[in-house]
Amino acid sequence: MMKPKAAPWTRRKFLAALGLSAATPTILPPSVFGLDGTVAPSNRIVMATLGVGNRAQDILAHFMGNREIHMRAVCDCRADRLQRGKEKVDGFYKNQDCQTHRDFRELLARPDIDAVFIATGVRWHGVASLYAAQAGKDIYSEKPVTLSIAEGRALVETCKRLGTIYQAGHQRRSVDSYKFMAEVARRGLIGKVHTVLMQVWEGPAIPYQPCTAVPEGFDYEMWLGQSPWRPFNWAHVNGFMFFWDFSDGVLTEMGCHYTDLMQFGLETDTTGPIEFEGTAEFPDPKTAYSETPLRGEVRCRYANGVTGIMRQTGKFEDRFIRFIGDRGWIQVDDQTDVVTAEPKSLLGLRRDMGDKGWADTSGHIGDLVRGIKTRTPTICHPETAHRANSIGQLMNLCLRLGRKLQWNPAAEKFIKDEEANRMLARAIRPPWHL
Amino acid sequence: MKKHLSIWLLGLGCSLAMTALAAAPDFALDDVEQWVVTASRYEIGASREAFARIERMIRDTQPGQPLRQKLEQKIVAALQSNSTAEARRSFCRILWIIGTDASVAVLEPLLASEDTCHMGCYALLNHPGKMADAALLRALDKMPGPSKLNLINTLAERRYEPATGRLKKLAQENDPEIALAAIAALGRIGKSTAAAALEKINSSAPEHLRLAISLAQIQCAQRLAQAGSKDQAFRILKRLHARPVSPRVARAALVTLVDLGFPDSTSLVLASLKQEDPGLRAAAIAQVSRLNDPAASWRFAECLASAADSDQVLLVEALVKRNDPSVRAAVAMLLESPNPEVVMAAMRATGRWGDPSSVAPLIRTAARFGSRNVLATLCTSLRLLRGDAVDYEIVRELDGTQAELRARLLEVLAQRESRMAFPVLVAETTNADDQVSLAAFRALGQLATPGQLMTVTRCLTTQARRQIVAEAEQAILPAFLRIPEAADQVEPVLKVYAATPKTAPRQVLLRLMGTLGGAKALETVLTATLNRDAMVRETALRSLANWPDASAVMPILDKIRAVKDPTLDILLVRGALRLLPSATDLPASEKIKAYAGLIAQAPGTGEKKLVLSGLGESAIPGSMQLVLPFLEDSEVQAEAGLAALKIAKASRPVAGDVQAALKKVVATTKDEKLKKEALDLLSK
Repeated sequence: MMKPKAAPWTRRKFLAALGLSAATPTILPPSVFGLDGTVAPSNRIVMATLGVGNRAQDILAHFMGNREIHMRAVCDCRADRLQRGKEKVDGFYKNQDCQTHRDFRELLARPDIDAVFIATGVRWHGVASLYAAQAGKDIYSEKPVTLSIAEGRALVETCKRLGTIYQAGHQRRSVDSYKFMAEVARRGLIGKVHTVLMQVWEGPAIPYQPCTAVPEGFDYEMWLGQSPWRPFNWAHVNGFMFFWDFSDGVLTEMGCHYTDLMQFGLETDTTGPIEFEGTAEFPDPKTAYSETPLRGEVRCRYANGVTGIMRQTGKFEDRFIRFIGDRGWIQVDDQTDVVTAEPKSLLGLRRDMGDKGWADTSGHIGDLVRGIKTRTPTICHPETAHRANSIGQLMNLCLRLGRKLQWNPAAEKFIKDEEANRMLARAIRPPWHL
Repeated sequence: MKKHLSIWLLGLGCSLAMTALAAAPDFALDDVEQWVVTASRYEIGASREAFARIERMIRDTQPGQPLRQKLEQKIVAALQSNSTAEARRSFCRILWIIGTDASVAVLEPLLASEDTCHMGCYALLNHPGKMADAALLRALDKMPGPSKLNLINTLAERRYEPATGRLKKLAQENDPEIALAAIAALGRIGKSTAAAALEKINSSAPEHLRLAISLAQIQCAQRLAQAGSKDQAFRILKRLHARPVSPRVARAALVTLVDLGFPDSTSLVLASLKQEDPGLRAAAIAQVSRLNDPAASWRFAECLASAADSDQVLLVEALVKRNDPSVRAAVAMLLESPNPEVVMAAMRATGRWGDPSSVAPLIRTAARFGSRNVLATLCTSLRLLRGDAVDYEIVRELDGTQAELRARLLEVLAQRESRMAFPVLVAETTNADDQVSLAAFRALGQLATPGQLMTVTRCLTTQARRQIVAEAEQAILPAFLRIPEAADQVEPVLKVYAATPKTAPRQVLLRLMGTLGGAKALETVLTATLNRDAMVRETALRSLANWPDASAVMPILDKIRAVKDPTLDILLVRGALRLLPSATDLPASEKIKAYAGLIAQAPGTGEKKLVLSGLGESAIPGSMQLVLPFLEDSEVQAEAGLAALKIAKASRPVAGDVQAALKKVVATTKDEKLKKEALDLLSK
């Protein structure tokens, strides 16, 4: 059916559509977004952080800066990181009150904790989210949200039936430049979108390092989580992203941000592409220890013909996403947050929008707070997050199997490819389970 | 554009390279044995080539091909040999993908060992056929402790219904970890027999397992419904909702019932609103927008008046999400609430659904509170209201409003792009309250059309309160800048100026000219610099110093020579230095002459530094002579050195003055980075 011809877009109308002007109703008071500092301590959401490594160190301040949140405890299987996490929290609140846990199950058993921020490696994101949901906690989980499609589906179903409020760390959805790009694509301002081009960087070839004894203060069994047992090796620990047992490589670790934005812009949050095809270059097994692709290109096609192209090439700072339509294109350069477009006049619609880049997660965290207060879904709820993440996972399966794959997004099964279907789930090492 | 092109080309290159890689030669059957044998000896740290080869074989062949069959046979043989633990782990990962019934027999013994059980489960997790289920079930009887968890979870993931009886027994074991895993597994299997088993276990379960059983029952119901057994699922969930072991179970049962489309969800949600648990009430209200019941809006609207304040806020939001304006009147009643949060919710809903008749109640409600948040909400709501008469109603309500509210209403009129409000806004520029007056100027800045700008300009010139004029000037500027032709932007100002003999208004207009620029305005300002009135002269000179483009460079240089006032002089020097680098029409020789004049007249060190920085910024080849004398002046040496370097970079070849200056920089500067750059230039 043809869409009726819309009136021309003015900047004001456009901003209103984006929710950036005050013209969009928000029932909640500003305090929900941590804006006016009037929240009584008893009304705050008490949170704990699971995994206080680099990512948590980066954005803990955004949680604590929201006056609706009180970060009360941290948990990590590494003693050094646990201590640094406590120092970070105590330093913010200027006290010594942050409690520490080595085992997240102790933390989840605490009735005073309302919600958790999960910033472990991906092998733990989904499993810890499931445990947290079962324990009645709401969740902000870093990406990639799960290690397998089955884990992702379990996350969706669990949160749905338990009424868990969940926000995935695909924070670009809450960042103005990306919201602008998505809205331009949605409103047809570049015509009918036919291609979404995404670029992540070349993966490293991690060399072998000798296995060593587990360092003191390092709970290695906990670190491994669901992954198959391997001897302790710093290559695994520091480069976990590049081994299939622990992660899915750059295509999901970074790619999930772009597949999420692709879904966001195409308004396909509850479905996904139907076909995947690609090629990749893997590390030289004679010299490299890591397994995930170095370079590659995967194309996925949606039922309506739109093609998503994920390129793994170039440098870290060259990453971008571009929506291409039959009347123009729009792109965000991820490193700089610079938006470019053709026709250039589209950029005029962006005047007066915020300029916070992807590194600022406060808006995304504010949305979690809104969700918790109203018990309504966040902007990146489990279904959305899982669908975006699964595109990267499916791209990887396509590369690992070396063939074109047909996917049924409704059933979440490959069509006539039993081998590929087997790879949708991984056995989880005990005592953990989905 | 170049960057994008190079990205495309790089991508194309990668694609071609990878296409070449993909077209690998076929493998011979004999290769299989060689690579599997090599792989079976793998230890961490050795080459992974054998496994990479095997993975390539999988990528390059299809299931059922002879090479595949041989590969599985050889892996099975390797697993039965003395292959290393690392090799076994990797072989299991391969069988996870390609294993057939031919490998089950060799995987089953792995299930019986603590060390290998997980990888055995890994290989069998999605193995098709009943042999895998049987092997897993047999192993379940044999394995103790943690590995039993492995098997329980694998059977649960496979949703193997015949395991139900065994899991039921395990759910009643003393080991809490095993019991909990078995209970969860029954929920995951999610079939009728599992539901019955959970029901049975629940009847005699100890207290500490009750919550886990309830949660497993909810999962079981979810899966039953997904498989089409909705009635059975509803029965389970209704019972859990009616007699929950904890508020969490009540909440989960309710949410799942609504999600699965339980026919009388509306009644269940309504009943939940009466519960004490605020979490349950909030979760119930969150379901309101999902109810597929046309009567639901009214039924919840009826609850509004008696609900707790916090629930009223959430209910209004939920009703807004249902987008059913028929409940507008019930929501508008909440405008009378003493609670500002409730009132703000009702205001926003009214904004969404209201019409011109909503204007007065909204404004009067906001006036009752007067807080910043309520006023902001009022603005949002008024902006949203639809109907041509809304603007008239807002204007009508202006009378008698307090200053802050009045200012916000003027702002709303501008945001609504209300053309009819122009006369009102003009009148409000003379309002006795600064806040209102400035709001009117800001609104005019947003709304005024080119034809209205003379009127707006006159408003500014007649403004009696000097303290707000500067801010008002800035406020109306956007209206001038909207005139498409830059040269025309200043026209209304010039016309008003021509008819304005008084000093103060002339000063205002000269300042505006200095911001907007243009040839005619420059001429007018230059004439004003000769005015008999000292205040007009001074304002004109200040405008000149602030001129927005390089057309004022030469007039400024002329004035510098003539002005005696040191303050004005320095302003003009700064103006000249700001504009000189952008004066592209000025020949280099003229620019050098200008800088020479500026530096000769620079009265103090600060001014000299400014000129030297300007020289550096302009970097005109041939201007080094001006910098040279200052390279030995310790007070400005740093600025001179930097300027010399920039000029040298723009000069080719490095010879004569340039060379001399660079050598002097090397000899005198204390800045190592500067010295290094100077040496680099000299060496070229």
